[in-house]
Amino acid sequence: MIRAFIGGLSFAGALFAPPWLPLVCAGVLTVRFRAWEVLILGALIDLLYVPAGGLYGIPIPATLTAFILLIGFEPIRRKLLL
Amino acid sequence: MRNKSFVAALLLIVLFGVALKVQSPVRDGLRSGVRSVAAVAWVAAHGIGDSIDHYGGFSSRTALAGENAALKAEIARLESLSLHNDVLRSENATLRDMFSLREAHPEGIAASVLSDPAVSPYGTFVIGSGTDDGVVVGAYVLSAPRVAIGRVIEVDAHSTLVELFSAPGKEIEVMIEDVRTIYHGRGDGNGLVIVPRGSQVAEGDAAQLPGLEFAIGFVGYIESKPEDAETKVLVRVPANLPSLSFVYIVPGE
Repeated sequence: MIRAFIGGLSFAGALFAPPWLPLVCAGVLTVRFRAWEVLILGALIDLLYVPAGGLYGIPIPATLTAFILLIGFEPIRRKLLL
Repeated sequence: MRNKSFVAALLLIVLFGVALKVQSPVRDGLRSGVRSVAAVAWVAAHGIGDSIDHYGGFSSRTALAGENAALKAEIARLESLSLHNDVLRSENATLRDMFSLREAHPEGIAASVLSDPAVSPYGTFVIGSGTDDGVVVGAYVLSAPRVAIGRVIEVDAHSTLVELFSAPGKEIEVMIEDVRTIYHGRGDGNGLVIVPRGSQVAEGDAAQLPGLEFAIGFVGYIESKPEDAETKVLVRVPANLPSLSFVYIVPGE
């Protein structure tokens, strides 16, 4: 339930809110859950907004950020879930 | 098992990155499709926002609930009329701006802003006109007569992606008075320009695109230290980007 709410908030934030909101939501989701949906969130942000040349040459910055959050929080998530 | 999942995800991400990097009909179709779906949400949200504005907003309704019952209906009616008047005045101002833009650039077209420029982390936003309306890649996007805020970087049939000149990491050549220099986008409508110390640059000067009549911003602050050989000039877009509802598209060179 919480996961669905935060997930929904993050996707709405990608369309209507400043970039920090989906980032915070993605951080919360990935700390607590193995939230593969943050990858979809990152992909959505990249598909909607990223210029063709990417940001500083990186074609999918938001998707990569989501992936880094997902694997970066894996150790702390394991401890939380134990 | 966990590692396998992450490796699989990484592979998918690499494929996705390559797909977005390389121009192809698949990429264009994917981006166009996603934007079309998002456009429905943006248009719906604009409609809801307009309705709230039109009928008085949440705060005034709450305040009115405590008022005397006999006066409540009359106050609501008057407030509604007043807010409606504000909406009309705002629309009138926007249309007046558009009209003056139309006079200055008869070849251009007006387009509605779909996504809030403050929402994108990349200094981009989506407008509701596309190739069907005559928008082309490279066209200048104006917020006021002779004030360009960005350029069209991607177009599909019904929507267009615009990149702000102030997008983070964006660099563009500008002229401030007679100084030719590079404008570095910093996001949120801000940019930084470095000029040699002693250059005749003053607050309020326009940063213009060389050879064009468009300004992309105005000098807001000048930071100069006696020990530095260069002067930092902060340039600000003369528009409130989050409140933009219409822009004007003028074909580029």
